[in-house]
Amino acid sequence: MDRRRRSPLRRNPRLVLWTSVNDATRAPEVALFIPCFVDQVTPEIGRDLVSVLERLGCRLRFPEGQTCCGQPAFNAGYRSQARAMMRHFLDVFDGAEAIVCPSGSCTAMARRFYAELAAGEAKLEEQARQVCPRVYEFSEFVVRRLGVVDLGAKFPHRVAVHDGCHMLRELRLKQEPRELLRRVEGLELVEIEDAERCCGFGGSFSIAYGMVSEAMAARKADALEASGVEYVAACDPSCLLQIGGVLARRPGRVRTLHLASLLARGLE
Amino acid sequence: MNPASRFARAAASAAGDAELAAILRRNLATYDQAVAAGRGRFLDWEAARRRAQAVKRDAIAHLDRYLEEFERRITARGAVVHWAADAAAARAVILALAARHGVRQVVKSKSMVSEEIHLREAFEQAGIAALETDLGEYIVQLRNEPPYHIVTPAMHLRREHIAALFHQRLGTPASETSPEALVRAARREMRQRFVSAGMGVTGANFLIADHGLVAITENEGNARLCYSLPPVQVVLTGIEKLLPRLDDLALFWPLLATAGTGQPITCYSSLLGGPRRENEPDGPRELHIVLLDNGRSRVLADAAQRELLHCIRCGACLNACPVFQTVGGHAYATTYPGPIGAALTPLLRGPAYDHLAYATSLCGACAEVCPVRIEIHHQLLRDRGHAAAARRRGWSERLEIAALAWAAARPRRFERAGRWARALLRRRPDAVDGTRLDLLRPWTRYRQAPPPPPQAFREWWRRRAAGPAAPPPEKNA
Amino acid sequence: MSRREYETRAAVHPARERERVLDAIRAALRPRPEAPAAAAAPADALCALPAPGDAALRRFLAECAANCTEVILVRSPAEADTALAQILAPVEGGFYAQDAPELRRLLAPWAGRTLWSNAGACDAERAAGLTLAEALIAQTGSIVVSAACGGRAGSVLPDLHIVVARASQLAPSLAATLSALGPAFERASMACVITGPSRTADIEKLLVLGAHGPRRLVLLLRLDA
Ligand code: SF4
Repeated sequence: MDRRRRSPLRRNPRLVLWTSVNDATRAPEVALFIPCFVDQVTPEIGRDLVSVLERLGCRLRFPEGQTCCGQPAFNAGYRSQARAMMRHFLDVFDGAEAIVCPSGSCTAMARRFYAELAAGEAKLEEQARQVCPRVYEFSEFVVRRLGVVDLGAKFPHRVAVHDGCHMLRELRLKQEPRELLRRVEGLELVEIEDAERCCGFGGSFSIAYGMVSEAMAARKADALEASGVEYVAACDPSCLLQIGGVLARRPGRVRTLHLASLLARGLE
Repeated sequence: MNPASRFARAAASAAGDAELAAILRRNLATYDQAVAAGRGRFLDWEAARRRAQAVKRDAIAHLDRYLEEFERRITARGAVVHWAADAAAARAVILALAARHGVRQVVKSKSMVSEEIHLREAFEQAGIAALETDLGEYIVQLRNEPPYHIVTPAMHLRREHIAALFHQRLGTPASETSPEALVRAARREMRQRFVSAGMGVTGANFLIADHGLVAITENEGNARLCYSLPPVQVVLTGIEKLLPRLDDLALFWPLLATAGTGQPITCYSSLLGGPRRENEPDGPRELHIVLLDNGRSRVLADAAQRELLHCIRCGACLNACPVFQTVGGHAYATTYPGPIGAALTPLLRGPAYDHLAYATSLCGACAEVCPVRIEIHHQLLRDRGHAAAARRRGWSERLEIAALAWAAARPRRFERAGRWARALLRRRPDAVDGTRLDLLRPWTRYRQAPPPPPQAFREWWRRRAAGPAAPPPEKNA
Repeated sequence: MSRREYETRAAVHPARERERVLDAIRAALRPRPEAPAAAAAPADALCALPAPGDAALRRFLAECAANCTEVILVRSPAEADTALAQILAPVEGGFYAQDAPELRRLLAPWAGRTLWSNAGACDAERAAGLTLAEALIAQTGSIVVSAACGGRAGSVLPDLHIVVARASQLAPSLAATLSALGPAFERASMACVITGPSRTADIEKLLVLGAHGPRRLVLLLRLDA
């Protein structure tokens, strides 16, 4: 095992010094990118993100000017409105060293779609080029940027990972959440059938085609229940809302948990 | 009913059909297994996809030149090339040919383009009997249905359905449900029609520019009979089917077969260079090739969307699509169902099909399997962009987006709007809960919604930053 | 509609329609997108291929076994005669054969039952079709025939297709075969890469052989001395 990747948290969970994890780098200053949806509907995910990142020694900042990255408008096709929201986002996060987001899909919006949205406006393109590569999804940031996989968390349960589509196909992040979960003490990581299958959320799709969306989620719920897990972890609050919404109406006992929330609980 | 509400209704009804789901699931499990093995035969599947994408990009970027080269070379061997700007022109060309030769019977092999121009109906209205000879197509023709899938037309049927159909229409014993017997019955039934047909109509999988060839891929042999027996042959195909070189087939044949069915190459990969030559004992006296535009040049004109013309109609994106697997092929009511159909149809057939671009969760499973690497899900997003920019979306959606944009422009406004909305939802009176007036109804009808939290993240953060004196965060159970 | 179709036919002016379509394409491609011609014949690098020689033959035989082509290896004309006699013995009905000296010799005992390609086209009553091959492909276990192999129907209409070929005709790859095939279209109007007997999986994805074409495909492969 790579010793440098073992965090000192295990030895002394109370004392966290970033410099001892990676001597060459100082603790990065992190600008929190809290998607509008997390801000308003699932703020506990944001709070858990804060607690985990602070335990890792990050200095956190929440640019209060942030609102919405524009994804809902962009996905519905309203590109000029989305562009206005992007402009706002880029101004708010201009100059940030690292921007961390607890949602794969909002991260993908900035990293994968802003460039296309900015095209044709030289200044905006340049700004997007500066800011977007600094936007990280939470697990990506911890594993790839901080180089930490073992947080010293403890969570003695059977857990499955759901791969959000944006995580998987836009950001190519499949191993990062798993790497983190594998080092959680007592946690049994279970691979479910068709882990890569879409949960059926798809934003406005889940409303416009509710029955189709539900059928897709039901298949995910079936797979989860068949696997015998207690929790399903994901890095996308919207997938969790969808899967959790269907699971809640079933007799089964599988619960949804954001990866940051799982780690935060495991560190308590 | 307009196409959008028709789709919504058909999709919802298919989504609740457990038997259909089981049939599709079994069918696709077989497919998935075969394809996984097939991909393993490539040294590097990803490199093969990238290469195919580059070849198609070249073909499409120089489409005019390659088409002319194809035309020049195949015409030199006696074939006749017809151009058709739209479906009506293509039908007119083919019906005129049929009239000139006094054709009463036509045998057809699988061609999605013929579905696109409703050729069979046109034949029937002209008093010409047109027989679909691909077994799957034959079955759906007997059922008076369009194909369910571009590669597997009878994907939605179990053998019992087919046995009952054959019993009724061909007089086979009702108890006879073995696939072998059913196939034999259909073959027997169709043999005579091949022999007596005055015209054979086929599609084309590829047109080869450098040697002027038509490439047709199939497993059953019905296309071979269609181009061997009748005295006149028509190849009906879209202008985008070009490949620059014959050599490209060394990649595209295995690629298409692997993505389509998992086979290393299909059973019959035919190349047609022209009509029968003087010294040959059989083959059509005339070979006519109809090149159809029908909206394709419009797609070509959009630099961001022209990659949709790279499609080789392998059907892989349909098979991978969780929406297709849930709603099935007929719900789309389009020639091309599934992701590629959802992306193309609004462009080819216009705004009445905008809804298809929205009938997807944009998961991207399609793009992942596409052998020519079309970013289908991003194309769906671009389709949506066109629909919204042209103000073709409903007022409620426009209002929602306008409201979001308004709120998002100022953080204060955003925070206040969020607080109001949460307060409103928290006080959701029982009278509204679960009824049509319930704003959350479209969500809660199918899923549980979490209770609205008492405070937004930003409020919590602010209080926390204000110091330890601040009250602890309320847990949102 | 049909009447109208026939009337609008007058409006479809071939030359004008051609220009209409080509003009639309040219306009759509202005400015011409950048897309360099991709390098040719890449497939050898993408599909695992056997080395020439014995490895190629082994690969060919393995692929044939997988795609249900029956291969009979023969080392002399006498062996070929015996093998053919065995195959044809149970077959009832007439044969259709490509008019070639080798097949004339092999089919001499059945000359009375055989329709030769120079005398007419294969009809639906023929129980077996016999042809030579243009080439064999190790990569996919395929047999290439063309219209020069006794026309088009002889290799697809009968229930049994027998191909007589030599191991020296074996090409390692599809790519190699295709490069050599181009000029063939100046003497034959059709070529077909045949990979196993006709089949369908349209009913519940279950494989059934003999959909519209031959249910059996037999290759008499002469190993050269
Ligand atoms: S878009 Fe791609 S995957 Fe879908 S049918 Fe076309 S080539 Fe196949």
